[in-house]
Amino acid sequence: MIREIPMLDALVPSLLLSFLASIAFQVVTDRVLGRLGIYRHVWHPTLFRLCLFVCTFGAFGLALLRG
Amino acid sequence: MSTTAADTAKGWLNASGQELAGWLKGDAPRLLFSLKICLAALLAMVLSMLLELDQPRTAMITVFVVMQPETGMVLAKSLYRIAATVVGTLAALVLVGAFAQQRELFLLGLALWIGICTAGAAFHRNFRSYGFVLAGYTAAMIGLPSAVQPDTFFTTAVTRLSEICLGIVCAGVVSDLIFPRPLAAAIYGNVESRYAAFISLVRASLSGSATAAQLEKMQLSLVSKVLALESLRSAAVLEDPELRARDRSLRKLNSEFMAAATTFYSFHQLMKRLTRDQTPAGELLQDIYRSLGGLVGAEAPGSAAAASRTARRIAALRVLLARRAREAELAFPAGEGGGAAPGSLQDFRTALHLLNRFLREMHGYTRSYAALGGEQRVLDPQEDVRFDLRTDPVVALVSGLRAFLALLVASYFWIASGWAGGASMVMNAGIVSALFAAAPDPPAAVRRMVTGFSAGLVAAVLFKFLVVPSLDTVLLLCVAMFPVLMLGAHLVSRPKQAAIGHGFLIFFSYITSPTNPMTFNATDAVNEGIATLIGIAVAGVVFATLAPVNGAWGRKRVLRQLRRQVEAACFEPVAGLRERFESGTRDLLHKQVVTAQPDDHQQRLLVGWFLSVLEIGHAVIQLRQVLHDVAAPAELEAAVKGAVSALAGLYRRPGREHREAALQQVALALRLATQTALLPAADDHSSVLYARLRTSLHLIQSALLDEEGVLMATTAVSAANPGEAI
Repeated sequence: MIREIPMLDALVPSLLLSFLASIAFQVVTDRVLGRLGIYRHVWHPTLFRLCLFVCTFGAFGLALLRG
Repeated sequence: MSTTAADTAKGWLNASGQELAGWLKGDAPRLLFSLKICLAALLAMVLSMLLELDQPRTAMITVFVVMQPETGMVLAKSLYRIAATVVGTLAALVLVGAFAQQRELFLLGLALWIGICTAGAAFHRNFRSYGFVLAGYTAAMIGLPSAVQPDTFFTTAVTRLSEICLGIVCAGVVSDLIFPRPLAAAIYGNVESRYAAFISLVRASLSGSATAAQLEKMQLSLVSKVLALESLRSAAVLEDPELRARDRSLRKLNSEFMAAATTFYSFHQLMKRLTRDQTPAGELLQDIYRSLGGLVGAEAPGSAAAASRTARRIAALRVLLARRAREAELAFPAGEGGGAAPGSLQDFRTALHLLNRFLREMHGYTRSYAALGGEQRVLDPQEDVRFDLRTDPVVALVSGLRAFLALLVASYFWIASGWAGGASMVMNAGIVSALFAAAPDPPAAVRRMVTGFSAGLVAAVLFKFLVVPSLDTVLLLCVAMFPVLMLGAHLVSRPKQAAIGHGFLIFFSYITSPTNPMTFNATDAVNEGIATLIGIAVAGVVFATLAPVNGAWGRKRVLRQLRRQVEAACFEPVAGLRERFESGTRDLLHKQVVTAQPDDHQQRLLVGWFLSVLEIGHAVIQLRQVLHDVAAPAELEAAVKGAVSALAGLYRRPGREHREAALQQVALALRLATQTALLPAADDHSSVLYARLRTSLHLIQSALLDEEGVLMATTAVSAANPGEAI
């Protein structure tokens, strides 16, 4: 597992980067799902969004762990 | 016997059922909100301890500051808080880097920065204003401790940023996950109640059952609804992806509403002038109005289907109106053509034109309303409508200057006394003078905050030195803190005591300063407490003594700004001008009414000017739109342009001479427009445009001649006493 990635010679924790990437991913997915009206069929939209985020972040983290 | 017992039981059940329903509507949401505050704050505290951050209190304070009943509001405030913290940190970095050895220069720079940010906060609205405030005092909070020890700057900045982000995440997650209160409901409620309020305004004005003061009050509440929707909308975009998809529709709805309201007001004014002295035109119009009776449904259509039905009914009304208008025009008493005399045929046509326009706008508005509530996805309107907010730069600058001075006074005291708590004092003077610069009544707000702070100080000292030493786990600490936090949160959930509650919670966590392991230093705690109170007092005294923006001077500025809106309508580029004009004018009025709470007479004067500005400005924009769309003969174009600039002159300096000049120019333009319309060269499209031109010119003329208008009152006064023009 790569713990830290050098960016401009500063060591940045790779988890922080994957966190930021998941946020970017979430923003895009959120817009798409909102446009498609998916949230209207979900019981607790916020919980759904939070879970989606946790899954994304987890997936990124696992990918880092393997890589 | 048994039946009576059963009846009693039933009655008791009913009564308690009602009681329960009332509780669920009134107290339960508030209790829930308090619980959510406590939960989020404790969560933030425990997490900061787990992550080994230096000061869990910063995360807790962040929670208290950003927590709002509606989720979207929390997210909006959080976003601005993060951004502002980053900006403030950078400013502190620059200041510390430049003046680490020079305390005087550092303090001067800090005072300048806070002054600039406070001016920015007074210039903007809602959360953006809050962002400016925060950027100002974050620099003080991070910069001041570092000014004493510059080498700790980087650590301080990074931990503080992490703590704030943690607090924000806790507040956002708790408020959005646990019984969320979506903004969408508030938005739909606003749109619906506004529809009903507008219809009742229309009915009240046309039936003549309400007094002028009542009508003005209704107008005022509509204005505040327009601005409330704008601020809700700007926050809701962050909360609900579906609302974001409908953002443009919402903005269009708001702008259509403003247009319809202004047109209706113009129509109503004209009707009032025509019916005041029994003119034939007035009678015919009243006739027509009665035949249109039951114009639109009495209450807001509850569903999309009902709204579409209403829209269809309005469309049918327009057809009916056109037929009635033709009939009435034929029946119009002969020999009353032309001229500016009230009750002429031109008056009649103008009124019909306005009524028709009102119905058209109402039709569009109802259709947008129906589309908003509908389940099916609607295509976004193509054109983008901007909502414009207007602020007086001078007032903003004065607020900035005031904050600057407060900081200088506090800094001078610190340097002269060499007091250990001085940094804290300067910091708090900065926070308070930035925070309350835009408050309705700064000295009162400061007083409430001091009350909350003092209570928080006492509670915190008792708690920290009597209760905390006997607690040995974090769980116990949470359990012990919960009731105290709940007390403050309960105050926060009541609008009237919210400021006291906030002060209490913030200061309680600030002084208690829960850390793991706990540190106890009574001298520091008391020193900090006193320094904070003195800092607040300095800011409060400066607020109360230096140029109160909300006094007579501020009112005068607002009136001038309102009138300047007419000038903007006369000279700014035409594209999108109507929306900018309508929203900007409403924003000006709203800000003054909300922040200054003027007494009845002043409020009526303000509303009077507001309505007059709306009427004239709207007509001027119509004029310029027509000139923009049609190639008018040079002579006519010059005349209309002359009339427009004469009007601008009149509103810049209201006076009898200016009014007469404007009247002359308008009459000239009107005459030329009538002649041009009679030329055989005019095709169908341009003759419609010329009719519109004449309507607007005539409307302006009749508004200028109105004897009960605020313009007439002012110009009459200024002729007698030229120096006292308001």
